[in-house]
Amino acid sequence: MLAVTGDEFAGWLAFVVLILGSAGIIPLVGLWLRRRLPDRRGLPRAVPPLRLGDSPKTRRSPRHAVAAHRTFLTGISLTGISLVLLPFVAALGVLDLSGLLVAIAFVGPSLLIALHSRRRNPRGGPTA
Amino acid sequence: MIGIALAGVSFALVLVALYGAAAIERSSRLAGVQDRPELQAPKRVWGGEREYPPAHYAAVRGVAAVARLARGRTFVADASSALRRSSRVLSLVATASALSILPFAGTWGASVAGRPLVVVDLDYGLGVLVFLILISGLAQAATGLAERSLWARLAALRVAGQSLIGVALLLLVLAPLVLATSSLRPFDFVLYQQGSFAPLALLGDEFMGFRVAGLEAFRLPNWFLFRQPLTAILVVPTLGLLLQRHSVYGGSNNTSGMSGFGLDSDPGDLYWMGLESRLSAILAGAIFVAFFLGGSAIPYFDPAPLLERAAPLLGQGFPAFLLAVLQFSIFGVKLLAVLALASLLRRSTGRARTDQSLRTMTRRLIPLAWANLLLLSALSLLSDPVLEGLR
Repeated sequence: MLAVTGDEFAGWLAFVVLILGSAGIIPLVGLWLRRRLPDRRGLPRAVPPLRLGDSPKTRRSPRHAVAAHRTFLTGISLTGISLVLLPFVAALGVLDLSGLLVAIAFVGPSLLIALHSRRRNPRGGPTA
Repeated sequence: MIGIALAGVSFALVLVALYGAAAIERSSRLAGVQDRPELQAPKRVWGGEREYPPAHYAAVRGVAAVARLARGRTFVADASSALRRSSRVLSLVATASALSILPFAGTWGASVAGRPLVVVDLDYGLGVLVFLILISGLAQAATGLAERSLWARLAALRVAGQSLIGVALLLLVLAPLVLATSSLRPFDFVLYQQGSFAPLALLGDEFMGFRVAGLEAFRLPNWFLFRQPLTAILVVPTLGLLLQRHSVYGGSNNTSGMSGFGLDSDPGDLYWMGLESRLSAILAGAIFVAFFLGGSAIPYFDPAPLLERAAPLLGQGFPAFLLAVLQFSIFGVKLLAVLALASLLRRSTGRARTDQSLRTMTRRLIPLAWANLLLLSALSLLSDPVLEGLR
């Protein structure tokens, strides 16, 4: 179960606090030293944001943005499929052959739809 | 109380691994390049050994780290520093929580009924682990969203896509382990890997239907590295691509400089980025050790009979405590060895661009992971009853 006992919760909290606390010691020492510096030397200073340029070609062809959005959407769908797969696999380990029929019942239609909905390149090249 | 004690010991292990990771990373950066002798450190006039700069020594580096952080901070004019700071904290909390789920040692007293020596023992721990890795990856994307620039937002989108695809790939790659253990509990993976097995005798007995007495003598540890070698090979690039962070230091030319988000050279950001990057590397290494190298198991050694023999002399508690310390130490040694090997691998391979690594994941690794899963599912289903019917 996902239920966590009080002991485990205390252990998790202690573990995370110890890691973050020990990591924060050096910046805290740095802050303490900075506070002791004379007048304005320790004040934060603004820097201009990074500019990578803006060409007309980039404006005209947003292929990077399109590719990034496609990857993002592919990632979401793949993660969904994989998350559903995990309990199936665990059940297959327990049920052995009797689970296989159920698995085929799930996988078969999905595979059929996936194969039929594949987008093909009309010019005969590789699939887009 | 036991939970807090376990957290303390696990924290000590992570601290040693953090120091080890930093030392390994540094020595790998300073290691001599065979075909570029001009890049090697100069030799001393007397004695002939290498003359390293003062920054080679850990104490000097520690003082320099504090001195860097004592300088005035910088901030990007139109970026949201609150979002960037909170995403760094979120990423660190998620990575630390993922580490707390991993079993660093076996059970108390080496008995099956003993308390598992893990900070948080979850029945669906694998799902939670993957979710925390996803949170950590998406927090990286949020760091990019803190800036108004179109390029930072596109990079954030790419990082988010890479995290999502990486998580899906990790689930596919780890599915054969779930199939073998029929469990999503990380501690069950470690329990499954205790003992040893005879691969040749198993192959002959299960699939060929013959039994040769001599084959029993050749035994390997029951680790998933040996039981499912293809899964182990697949998980290495998967963890590398999923948990790699934008490197803080340029590895090839011995220079240090920031890359990735937050290019304003703020020393505080540099520090937190370095810590997050090393903690992620430790998480990747710890996952590999726990899931594929038997966790804290010692090859060909069962500690239970030794504890039974020691019980009349030393009682139950003290030997069990010594064994627990030994198990944590063994996990630490394995983890440092894996980190050193990963560092060697990283040095000897090129650094892929985001689109290249994404293409590797979607076009190469995902089909291979599916094939591996189908192969192992078929092998597990073709177990004794089916094979008996075929013979």
